[in-house]
Amino acid sequence: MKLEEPVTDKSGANLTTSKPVLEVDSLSIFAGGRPLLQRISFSIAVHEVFGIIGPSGVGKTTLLRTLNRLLELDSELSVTGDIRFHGKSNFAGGTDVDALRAKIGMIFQQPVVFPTTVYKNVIFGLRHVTPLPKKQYPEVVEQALKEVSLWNQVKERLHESAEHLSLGQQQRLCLARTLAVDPEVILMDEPTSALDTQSTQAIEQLIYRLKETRTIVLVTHNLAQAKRLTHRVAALTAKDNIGRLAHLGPIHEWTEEGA
Amino acid sequence: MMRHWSNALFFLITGACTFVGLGLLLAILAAITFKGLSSLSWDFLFKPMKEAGASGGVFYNIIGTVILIGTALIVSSPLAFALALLQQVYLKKRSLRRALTLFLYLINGIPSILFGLFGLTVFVQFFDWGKSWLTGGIVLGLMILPTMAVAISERIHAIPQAYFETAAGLGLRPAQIVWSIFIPYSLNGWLSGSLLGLARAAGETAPIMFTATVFSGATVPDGVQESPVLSLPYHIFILAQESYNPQMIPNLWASAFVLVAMVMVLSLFSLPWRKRAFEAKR
Repeated sequence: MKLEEPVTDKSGANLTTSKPVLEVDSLSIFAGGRPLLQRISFSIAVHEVFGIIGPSGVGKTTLLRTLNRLLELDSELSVTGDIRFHGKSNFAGGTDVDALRAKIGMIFQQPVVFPTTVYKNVIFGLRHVTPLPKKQYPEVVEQALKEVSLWNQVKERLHESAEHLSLGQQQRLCLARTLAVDPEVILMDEPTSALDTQSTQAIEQLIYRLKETRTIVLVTHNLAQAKRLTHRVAALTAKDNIGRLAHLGPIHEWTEEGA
Repeated sequence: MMRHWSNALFFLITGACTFVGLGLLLAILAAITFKGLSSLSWDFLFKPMKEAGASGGVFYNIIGTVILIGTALIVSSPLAFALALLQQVYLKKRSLRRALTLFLYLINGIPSILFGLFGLTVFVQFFDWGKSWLTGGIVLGLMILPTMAVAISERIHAIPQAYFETAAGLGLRPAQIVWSIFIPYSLNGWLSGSLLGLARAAGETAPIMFTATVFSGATVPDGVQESPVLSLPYHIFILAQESYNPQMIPNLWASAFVLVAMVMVLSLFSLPWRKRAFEAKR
C-alpha cells in the first residue's frame, strides 16, 4: 500500500519510497456493538511523524491505542479491519502481543511515573522485556536519559524518588523509560497537554530529534503543534457520533480546506 | 422548627448509641486491664502453667497461639493473593467478579465452630492427624481468608489503572505485570488484612478446641500427627469454666489481658497500613 502523500525528511529524501512501518486498513472500532470509529485507513512511513488530530471525543486516543493493541485492555471494545506492522497483521493468530507492544511504545497524556527511584523507573521495562545483562543497565539508563535531555538534571539523584521531579521532567522520564526498551515506533497521546510552555517546548524538541531514529505517531488537539511537528496528519471528524477520516495528508492542506 | 427538632433528635440518638457502644467496649477493656495487670508478672509471661492453671504462667500458651496464627498467615497469604488477583485481574466478566465477592462474604459469615467441624472431619479424622497445630493453623487460615482476600483486592483495585497500562505498553507479559505491579503495590492490603484477620483468629476458641489445642501437657510441637499446642483462648475458656475456684481468677484475668494485648498490638499495627491504602485510593 502506497502512502497517499510524499513524505520527506529534513534532507529532502522521500520517506514514502520505503515500505510503510504501520498500515491501518479499513479499521472500525466498536463499543459493545456501537461503532466509535469507522473505516479508517492510512499508512505511516519509517521515521515519519504522523499526527492524529480532531475534536475531543472523536476517537483519537482510541485509534492510537489500537495501533499496539493496548485497546484490548478494555474488554468492551472490539475491532474489525486490519493493522499491519512491517506488513504483518497485528491481529494474525500467534501474534506475540507483548512483543508487539515493546516494539510500538506508548507515552500517555499524563506522565505515569512509578513511586520509586528515577533509576528504577528507567529500567522498569528494560529489565522485563530485554535480555540485557544487569551490569549494562547503568549505561542504558544514562543513554536513555541523555536522549531525552534529562541526564544533567537527574544524574546526581538517580536513586531519589521520581515523584519529586517536575511534570515536564516526569514526562521526559517516561519517554526515557520507553526508549530504554528500544521501540521502533512511539505512540504519543497528547504528551504535552498537561505541561507548561517550557516543558512543552522541551518535549517538542525531543520529538524533532527522535524522528531521526524512530517513527512517531502523535495525537494532538493543538493544530500549531501538529504544524510544527508532523509530516502528515489523519484528521478525524465525528458524523452521527461516529469518528471518520476527514483528511489524510500534510496538515496545511487540511486547514486550507477549512474543514 | 420541626426540622430543627428532628435534627437534634437524630443527633441525640446517634450520640447515645455511640456512647453506649463505646462505653461497653471501654468497660470491658478497663475491667480486663485493671484486673489483668494486677496479676501480671514476668514469671506469668515466661513460665509454664502449673496446678491446672491455678499457678505458673502462660508461656507455652503464648507460644502455641503464635504458632497457630503464624501457620494461619502462611496458609492464607498465597490463597488470598490468588483470590484477589483472580477477582481484580483475571476475571473479565463483572458477573463473575461479583459472584466471587459474594462467595468471600459468605465464607466470612460462616460461624467459626463450623470451620472447627470441617477441620475435625477432614484433618483430625480423615487424614488421621489427631489434634495438631497444623490443623489449627489451616482452619484459622481458611477462616481469615476472606478478610485478607478482600483487603488485598481493595488495594489492587486502588492501584492506578495507568500503572497497569504503562507496564502493558512497555511490553510486559501479564505475569510480569502481576509480579512487578500488582503484588508489590498491594502489600499494604496484605499486611492490613492479615493483621486484622490474625487479630480475630488469635481470639478464636471454637475452630481450634477440637482440632489443635489442649489445656495442658503440650509444649513446642515436634511433628504434625498428634501434636497439639496450648493456646490462650482455650486456656481462658477452661479457666472461666473453673472460675468457681477463687485460685483460678487472677490467672484468668491475666491470661485475658495477655490475649487482648496481643490482639490490640496486631490491630494497632494494621491501622496505619489501612490508612495508607485508603489514602492511595483517593
